[in-house]
Amino acid sequence: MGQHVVLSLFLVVSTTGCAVFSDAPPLTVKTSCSPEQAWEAALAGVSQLKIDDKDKEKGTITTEWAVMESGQLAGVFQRDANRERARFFLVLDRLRDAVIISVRQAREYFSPMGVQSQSTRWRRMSPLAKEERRVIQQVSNRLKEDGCAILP
Amino acid sequence: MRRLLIAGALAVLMIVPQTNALAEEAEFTPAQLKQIRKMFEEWSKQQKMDEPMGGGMPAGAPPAPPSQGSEMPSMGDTTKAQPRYGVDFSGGSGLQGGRTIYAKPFVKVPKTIIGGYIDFSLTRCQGGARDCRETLEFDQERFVPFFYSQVTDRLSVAAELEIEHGGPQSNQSDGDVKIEFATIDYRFSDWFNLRSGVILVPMGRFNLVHDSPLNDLPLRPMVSRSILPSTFAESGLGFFGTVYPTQLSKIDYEFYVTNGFDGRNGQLRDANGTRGSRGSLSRDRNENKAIVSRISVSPVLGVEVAGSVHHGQWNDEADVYNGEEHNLTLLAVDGNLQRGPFEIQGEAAWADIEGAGIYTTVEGEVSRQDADDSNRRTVLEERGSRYEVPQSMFGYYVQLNYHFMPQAITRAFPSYFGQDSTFTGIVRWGEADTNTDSDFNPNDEERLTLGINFRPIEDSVIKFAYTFNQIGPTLLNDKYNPGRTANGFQFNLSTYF
Repeated sequence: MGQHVVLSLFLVVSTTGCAVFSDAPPLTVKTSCSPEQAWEAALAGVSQLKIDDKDKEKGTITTEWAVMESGQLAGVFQRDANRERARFFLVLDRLRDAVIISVRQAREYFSPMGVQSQSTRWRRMSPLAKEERRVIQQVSNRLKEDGCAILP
Repeated sequence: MRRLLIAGALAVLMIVPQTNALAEEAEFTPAQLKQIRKMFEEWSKQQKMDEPMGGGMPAGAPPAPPSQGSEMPSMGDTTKAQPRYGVDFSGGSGLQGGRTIYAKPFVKVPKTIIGGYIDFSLTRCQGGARDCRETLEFDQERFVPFFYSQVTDRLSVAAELEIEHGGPQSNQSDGDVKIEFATIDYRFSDWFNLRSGVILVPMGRFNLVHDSPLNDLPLRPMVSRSILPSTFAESGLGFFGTVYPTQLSKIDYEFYVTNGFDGRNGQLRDANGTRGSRGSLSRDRNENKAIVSRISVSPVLGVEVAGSVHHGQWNDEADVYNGEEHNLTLLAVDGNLQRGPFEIQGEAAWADIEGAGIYTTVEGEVSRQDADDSNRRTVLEERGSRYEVPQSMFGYYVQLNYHFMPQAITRAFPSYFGQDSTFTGIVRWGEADTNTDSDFNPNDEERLTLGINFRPIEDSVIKFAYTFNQIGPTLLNDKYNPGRTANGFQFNLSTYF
């Protein structure tokens, strides 16, 4: 009996979980400029990061992971031992008379503290909206420099 | 002439310290010098930014939008973090701790981190349970130093050395010292990495996060003691990795070959669950390797479900020669959902055992591990005793956590409650049945736990819980095999250091 309850609960949770727990929509900027200009602006938005993959036809840019120290200090001695890493996904959607550039960050956390260094090491954590906003701002700045209008 | 000598001496005095300074500087590589300059520039820039603006900004005002031409995203500028210097922004999947020359390692050995955790408990359960005795007792349960060393960008070593109950040389020699895990990892990429050593077996989620400071309740789930015998570590070799099918999803996998179980001579029995049959870390007594694997899927942030399997022979070589190779297969599913302050987690495990039946222990000196997880030791079995190897076992737990921190308390006692402080209310229900084919198994356990804990910081926790335990047969009102209750409380302090 217990086994059936557990299996049912597991199936329900795993199937409905995705529907209930959807991520927040990505930050976007909409511009009236050409797809070519939008592509260049998107690249400029992440110009200081290494690009892992870009496809101009599909309008996708993925940066490599950038590793940094974590704001979460380790242990009672609050040492700088933990790490975080982040990468950005930029997607360009071409509309009839505009282009929408969306930015999303994936972020992970690593701690060498005990068992946290084991398993597959990196664990997911919430993206930093502040960093996503900065990329969007950088893209917007580049668009404005190129004389493109930012649409509401 | 004298003037020349004085001038020469002064010149030497001025030059010598510079020479020493140059000599010290020469100990840095060009890359390190570049890093130091970069740090200094960043520090100078930060100092300028930290200067108060004219007129100041009202408290609570939203941050001004970035101006045109604002800087590129400063990665690592986390909400909690002050700027940290020596941060390396290289890409790739390697942990960069070894490169950051000012990463403040725990000791003065570069790239190596030494830390640990400690936990201390006070428990009492009326009637006594496996992990909660009848008497009110203090227990220095664990002192666990750990080591993490980033040998190169790709090679790392990690280990935990557990000293339980004061160690084997404690006053009554009733403690233990053992390796919890000790692994060498060689990283190729995100999706493929090698691991060898004493591996933390990826069976279920709890075993992978079993450190006391990570857990919200004082006692471990029963399924994670009896069916998935945490701490469950085996000598082995294998690989692990992560793939990202989409932007939002993540799949982790681990696959290892290990020495496997050793259930000879009564180690695997319904009274012990699988706990007593964890195999040797140095020998494979049945020359039959076990395989273990776990696949975890996280379709979106906050959702993770996983399945794991462990399969291998549990009996010894002699039985193999008789044509009786008996395997033990463990299956587990686990899940974790987080949404806001709520978190629900659970784990279920099944054990399928070949060769079930009544056995008799062999006389003579045998290795023995007690069911309550006290020492494994060699004992003299003066005459054979009967025991039962069950055909199957099953257990599970479901736990709901609610994290909260009343702002009034934070404001009233700011020196005790910081921005990382939090309370957690916990409800856990769990069962462990080490012989599912028997309605009279005196080792069945059901447990409801209500708990609350306080974390002054994330890595330190003060826990209190009350457990309602039902032990033994529960389905039948059999006066000859009555079940019993063993309710009681647990208090626990644990912290990483």
